[in-house]
Amino acid sequence: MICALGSNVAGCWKELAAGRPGIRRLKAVDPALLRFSNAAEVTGFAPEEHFEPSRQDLLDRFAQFALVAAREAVRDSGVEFTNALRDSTAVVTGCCLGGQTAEDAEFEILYRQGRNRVHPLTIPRTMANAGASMLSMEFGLRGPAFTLSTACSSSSHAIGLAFQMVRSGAAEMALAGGSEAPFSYGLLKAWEAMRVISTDTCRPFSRDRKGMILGEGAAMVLLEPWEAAQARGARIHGEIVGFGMSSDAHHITQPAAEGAALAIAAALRDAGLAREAIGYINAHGTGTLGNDTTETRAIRQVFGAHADRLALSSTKSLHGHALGAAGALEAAATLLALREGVIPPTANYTERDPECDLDVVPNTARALRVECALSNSFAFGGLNAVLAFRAHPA
Amino acid sequence: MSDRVADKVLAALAAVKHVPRESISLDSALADLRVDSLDTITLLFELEEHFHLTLPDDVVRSLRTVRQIVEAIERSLAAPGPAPAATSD
Repeated sequence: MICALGSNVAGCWKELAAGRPGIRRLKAVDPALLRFSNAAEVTGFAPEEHFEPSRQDLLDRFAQFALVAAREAVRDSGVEFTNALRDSTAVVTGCCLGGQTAEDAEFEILYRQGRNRVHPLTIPRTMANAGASMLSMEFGLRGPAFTLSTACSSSSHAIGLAFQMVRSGAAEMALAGGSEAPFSYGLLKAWEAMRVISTDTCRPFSRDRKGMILGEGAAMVLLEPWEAAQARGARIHGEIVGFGMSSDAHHITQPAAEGAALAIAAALRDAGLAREAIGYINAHGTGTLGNDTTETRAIRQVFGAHADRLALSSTKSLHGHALGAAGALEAAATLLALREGVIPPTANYTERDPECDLDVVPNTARALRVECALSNSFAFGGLNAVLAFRAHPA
Repeated sequence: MSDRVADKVLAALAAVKHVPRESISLDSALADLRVDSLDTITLLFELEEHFHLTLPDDVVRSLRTVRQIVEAIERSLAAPGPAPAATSD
């Protein structure tokens, strides 16, 4: 796990549990060129500490993040890959934008500097599946491997599909998650034009919210059947018990509560969980006017009276909106919340919005041991993915 | 109210919605014209480029009628600071 909060799980969890946002003044691009000036960037990341120079040449920042997070996941799992296991281990990554930084840099040479050729490694650096391919090569994993792109739901879809493959036996094990590095000048101008980026900070569910804050990073999980993990004495962080997907079939950017509710209900059904079993939801919670009211309505639709008894928080207020990596970062945050019995807060919260009237765990983390939790991802384009988790009995 | 600004706003809105300009008046509510968030940012992009100005996001979020768009642009044009002439496209 790597994001604005830290470069490993322990570092990120410390900040999540303390409710300390990693939102700071933008460094990758001069904020004077933009209408917003804050972002949740990974700081102090030195690629040369992680990669040989020849390897580094091949890797955009998003693929570097994918590798750093995957190395931690594999190391932490204690797995020893045999040749047979390598043949049946899947790699599924989510990514919205691909090698945005590399693409922007090379196109700047072409369009602005007027030169007529770009770096020969531009394609391998920018292709969105570079993360999955690099992970596969790094660990010699030869099972099913692919990248999927569903905007802000990308890595929830990735983890969900990997979960389905492991559950069905299509793969013995899966390395899954997502990565993103969106801080190029061109892309930031495109987000600016969408008018959904906050000019100060990210205040999900707060009445005075002004939009999202972009983030970056990666998170990866290693999935295997429960019995197999127990048999090999793996360090188990929690269990994925269900996955639900839906499409709004409504609008290319405006969310619809009905679509989100369908995905939440599908995840509960897939997990065989009653709605009362859910104690915590890690919200999509972007901090935009549209998402937060719609998500609240969707949760009320599915949970009825139980909606007022569950805790809901948006960790995007801490690690920013990492787009294609968001679902994976939030899945990790949800698993850690279950494992530690601590709900990370919705940070930067100032004022109650009557249209977002759930218990959003404002500003301060809460000691609360829950058995089951959901992680919501609702993408631009109306593509929804919800993961259901169960705590590992201590 | 300046005809120049009003004319441009009406023309740009008609183009964004692909409707005859005569079907839109200054008192039309954006919701009645089925102007959604994407139409709004597209329209504002066109108008900001034309008038060489930038309307803050919170002003844009508060716009409900065509007249309010015209007034917001006029306020911005009248504000102190460099305000180059509009392009003539």
